[in-house]
Amino acid sequence: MRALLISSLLALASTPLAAQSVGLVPGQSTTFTIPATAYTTALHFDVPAGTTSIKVELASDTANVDLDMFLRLGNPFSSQTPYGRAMDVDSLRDQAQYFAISGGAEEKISIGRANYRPAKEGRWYLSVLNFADFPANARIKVELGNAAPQPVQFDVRFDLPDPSCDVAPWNDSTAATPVGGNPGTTLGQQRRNAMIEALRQLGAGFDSETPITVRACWDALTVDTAGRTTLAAAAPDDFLIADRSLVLNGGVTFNPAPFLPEKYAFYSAAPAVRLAGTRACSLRGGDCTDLTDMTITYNRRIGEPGVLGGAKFHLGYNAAPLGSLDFVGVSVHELGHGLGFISLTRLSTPVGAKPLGRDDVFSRQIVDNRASPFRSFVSLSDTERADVMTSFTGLSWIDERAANSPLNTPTGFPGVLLYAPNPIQGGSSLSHLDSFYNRELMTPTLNQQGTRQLGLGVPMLYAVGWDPEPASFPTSPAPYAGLWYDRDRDAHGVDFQRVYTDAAGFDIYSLIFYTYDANGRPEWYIAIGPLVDGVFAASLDAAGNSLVRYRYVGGATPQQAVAAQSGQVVLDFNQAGSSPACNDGTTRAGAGLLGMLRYTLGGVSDAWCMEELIQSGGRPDDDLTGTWYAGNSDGGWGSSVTTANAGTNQRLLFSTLYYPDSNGAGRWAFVSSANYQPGQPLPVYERRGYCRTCPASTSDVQIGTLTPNLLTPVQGQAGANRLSFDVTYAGPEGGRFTRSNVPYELLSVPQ
Amino acid sequence: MQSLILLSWLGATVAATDPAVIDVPTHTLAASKAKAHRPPTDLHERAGHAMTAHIGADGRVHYDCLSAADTHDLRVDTRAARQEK
Repeated sequence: MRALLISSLLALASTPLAAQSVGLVPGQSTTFTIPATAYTTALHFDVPAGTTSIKVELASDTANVDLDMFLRLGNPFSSQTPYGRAMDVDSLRDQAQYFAISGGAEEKISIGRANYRPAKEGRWYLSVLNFADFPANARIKVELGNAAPQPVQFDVRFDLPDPSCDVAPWNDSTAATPVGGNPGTTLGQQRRNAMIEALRQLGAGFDSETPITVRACWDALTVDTAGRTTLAAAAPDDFLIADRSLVLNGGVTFNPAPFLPEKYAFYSAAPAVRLAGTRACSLRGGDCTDLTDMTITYNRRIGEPGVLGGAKFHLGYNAAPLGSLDFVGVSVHELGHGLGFISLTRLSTPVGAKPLGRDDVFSRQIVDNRASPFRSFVSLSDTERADVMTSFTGLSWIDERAANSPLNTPTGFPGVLLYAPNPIQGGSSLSHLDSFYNRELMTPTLNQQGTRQLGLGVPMLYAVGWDPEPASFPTSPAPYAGLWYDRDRDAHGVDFQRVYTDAAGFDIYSLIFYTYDANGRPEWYIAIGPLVDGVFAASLDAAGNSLVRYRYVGGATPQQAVAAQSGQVVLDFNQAGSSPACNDGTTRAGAGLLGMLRYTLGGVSDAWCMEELIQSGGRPDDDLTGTWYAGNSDGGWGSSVTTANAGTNQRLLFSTLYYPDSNGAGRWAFVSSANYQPGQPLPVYERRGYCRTCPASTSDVQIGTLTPNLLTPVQGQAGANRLSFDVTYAGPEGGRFTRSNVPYELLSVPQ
Repeated sequence: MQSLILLSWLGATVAATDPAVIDVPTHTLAASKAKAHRPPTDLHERAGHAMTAHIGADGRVHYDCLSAADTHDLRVDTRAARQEK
């Protein structure tokens, strides 16, 4: 076993001491040269108490370079992986709490007091990466503040034309008379002014350390369809989600989003950018030239004779006169959807379906109020969601920031009532306030006499990423080191153990996935990597795999990795109870901390909901739980051991034995004793199980005996611990594997 | 004396505004990973909203917010739909 892990743990032996980190002085620019395709992890700055904002800006005077930046509080970034390999952009990002990775040289991260991980006193660490194949001069500056939060600023892009985005109307030179407070003297000026006024109204009540970008367009939109003409259409340009279980066709995954407060839920781009502290292109990567957070398109046919009777947009800042079209009001309403006032639940077939099977953060605030206790909208089936969406009064926004707001006029129903007509009205149902709130802007029918501000929509949007209240820095989950399993996939499992702490201060864990192949034969894989803020994002080996299958080579160090049979794995303990894997209809009563395990093997990805096999209360004082091995000179095999209290003076022992068949392929078997007595022979069973996506089915066959004489959980020395076994793997690839009274010691850190 | 104070002040200012130049330890990136950028999702297909209007018999404008997809007025880049594997 050690030899299997030794390919990783060699790095432990040779891990250099953390390089001397250089402290940046807030307020002062600092320059340094970074070689071609290189990175540094040796920058930090200290934040004093009372700081409410942090801004880090990176730039370069070297042409055509691509610099990236990563930021975290608490401990520095690792300078190499547990395999002893250099870091890459993914492994640095996996350790970051904030990152900016656009395709250019200029990056900025701005954190306020209301971010999920807010500005906080302590030492913050930076990593900077140069993607160019030539050296770059980097210039970095940190600014700290303690001022009030920055009101949200909108950058409007009137200059991003494409076939569906006509920008000429923004520059229309037709003379115009100033109107309703709009001082523009050309039609183009007035349109731009009205747009900016709409954004001023929209932003009232919100703060953001990062500007929100809006693409502004004109196009020939629908005229007189069913008697209606489209004035303007808007949408968020993207959605982000913190969900490591989501794998799309082609193996595409979403970038990690540790800055989003709610995991496994889509956020609209604008609030996501606010929470990330950086612009969309720096989150997504790539070119920043034309990437925006939301787009609004106005109908350029408005004003033509025969279109709405020739009615024109009123471009004044005051109320629209009778018969004219309220440009500002329409804009604020539609852009309110762009800020995140929007559910992604389907309103057309299949009605009630969630996007990619995931929640969105808007829908998470909604309950079905028709029966007590209220049922969470996102926990309902598609059919149930379709039903409540046509219940007229059954949809309540329950988040207390809006429900208890003085802006909320009581309706007699819980919380804030959402629009739920029967039949469903596409685009109107669910993502609007009920028509009862006829003075509000975010009702489906714009009221000309209503306000142009979002009103009750403001505290509602607080719940989807706009909350201005100071946040507390979250505490990351601390998982139990031991065996984890999914109740749905009983007899498969993982042994998750802390093995050492790297020079940067990250706890390095090993993960052994004991499972079955397509024919139900036992097999196992190994991963190793840091646990970062509750996420085990396993490191990649030389072949780019993180979940590695090995072939036994007696006496070899390291063992032989089989790239073609290896894959990827992530184990995320953050809010795993909200993951689709943990909401699969299985009751997990009594489970403690949950973890979402996502693996990819043989081109198949799946996500499981893992829980502790033995919870902390059931563990004995002299706990033998851990990964055991026979030392460096006898690698390639080993054991996972777990012990538990089993009555007075009795300990339960369960252990899996990892060993090779005659072809060197890794197999496993197990022993179990309800009253463990050191030195007592135990029958070894091989379990014929079921493939990872097959219906559950198991049968056990005894294949030998094993005598554990494990007395003291110690690492680095065998002590008196000994192990004997004699097992024979059946079948054509079978083979006998034995050891007699060999020294045995913990590879993992004792409990 | 004044000039000394002034020089000191200027010196402090220069020190505070000039970039500090440092050397930092660096490492060569792992060669196996290129930086990929993720295209946007196509979820805005269902997220687009459109404000429509008609003129009532009373001459007033009546507004209704509908799905942009329903009004065929989605004017954002819709890349190929992706399905969860």
